[in-house]
Amino acid sequence: MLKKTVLMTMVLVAFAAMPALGAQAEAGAAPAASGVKWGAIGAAFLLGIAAAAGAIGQGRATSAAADGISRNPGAAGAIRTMTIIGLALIESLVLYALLIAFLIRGL
Amino acid sequence: MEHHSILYEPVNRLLIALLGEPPVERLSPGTAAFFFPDGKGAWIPDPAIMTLLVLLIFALFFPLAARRYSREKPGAVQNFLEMVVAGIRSLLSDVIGHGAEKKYLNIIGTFALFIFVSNVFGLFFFLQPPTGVLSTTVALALLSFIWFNAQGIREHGLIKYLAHFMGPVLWLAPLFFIIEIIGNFARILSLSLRLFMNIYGEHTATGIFAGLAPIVVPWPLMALGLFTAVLQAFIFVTLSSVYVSLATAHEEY
Repeated sequence: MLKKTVLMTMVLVAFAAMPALGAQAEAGAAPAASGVKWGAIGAAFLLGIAAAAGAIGQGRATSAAADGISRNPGAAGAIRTMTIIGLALIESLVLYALLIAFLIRGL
Repeated sequence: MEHHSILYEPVNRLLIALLGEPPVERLSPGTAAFFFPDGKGAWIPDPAIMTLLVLLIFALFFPLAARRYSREKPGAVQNFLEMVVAGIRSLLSDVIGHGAEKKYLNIIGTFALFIFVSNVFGLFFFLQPPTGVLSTTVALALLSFIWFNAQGIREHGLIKYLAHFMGPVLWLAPLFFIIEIIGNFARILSLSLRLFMNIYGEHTATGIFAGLAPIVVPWPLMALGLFTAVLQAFIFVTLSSVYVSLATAHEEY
C-alpha cells in the first residue's frame, strides 16, 4: 500500500515535471531574475534525502539477511535470492528520485 | 554529452550515401523528431544501431553454438549455456511453479539474454548500451506488460481477469479497482525506469570517471557495472515472472 502510494506520487510528479522539458526556453528567464537556482537546490536536497532513506532501508535488509543466514545456514540460497531482489527494489525507488533530480536540476 | 558508438558514423554515412538525406522536410516536426531524432544527420539513431548489433550477435552466436551440441562430450560454451537455461528454468519453477517453465522459458529467456547483453554493451567504450535510453526500456516494459496481461486473460477469460482487480470485499470494489488498475500500469513505469536509470547512471558515471583518470580508477566502477548488468536482467525477469504468476493465479482454498 505504501509502495503503491509512493509510485502514484512519482507518476504524478513525473507528469507534473514533464512540461518543464518543453518550457525550458521560457523558464530560463525565471531563475535569472533573482539569481537563486531553486531547481539545483531542490535536486540536491531531493537526492540527499532519497539516498539516506534508501541506505537505511538497504542496511536493514542486509542485516536481516545476515541474521537469517547465521541462524539457518541451510536456507542461505533462498535468503540470498530474496535479499538481492529486495535490495534492487529499494534501489529502484532511489533511482526514481534521481530521475526527478535530473528533470528539475535546470529550473 | 553526445557520446556516440563506433558504428554510428559509418552506418549513417553509408545510408546517406545510398539513400540521400533523411526526408525531414516532408514530415511534420513531431513525426520528424519521432522517426529521425538526429535530424538530417542520421537515418538510424545510435540505440537502434546498437540493438541491431545485439540481434546480429545473437543471430551469429546461437546457431553456431547449437551446431556444436553434443550430448556425450559437451564443450565449454555448451556447459555455460546449459547452466544459464537451467538457472532460468529453476527461477521460473520457484516463482511460478508447476509446469510454468515449459510455457514461459522462451520469452523469459529472451528477455534475460537480451537485457544482459545490452547492459554489458555499456562496459565498452566504443559501444552504447541500448538499454541506456528510455525508448528501449519502455519498449521492453510494454512487452512484458502486454505479455503478462495476455497470459492472465488467456487463463481466466477477460471478465474474470478484470474481476481480479475488484479486491476482496464487494463494497470497496470501485476504490480497489482504481488503485489496482493504477498499480498495474505503474508496473510499466517501474520496470522501465529501474532498468533505464541503472544502466544510464552506470554508463554516465563510468564515462565521467574514465575521463578523469583513465587507467586504474574506472575498474571498480566497471566491476559494479558488470554486477549491475547481471542484477538488472535478473530483476527484470524475476519481476515479470512474479507479475505473470499473480495474473494467472488460481486461488484454491
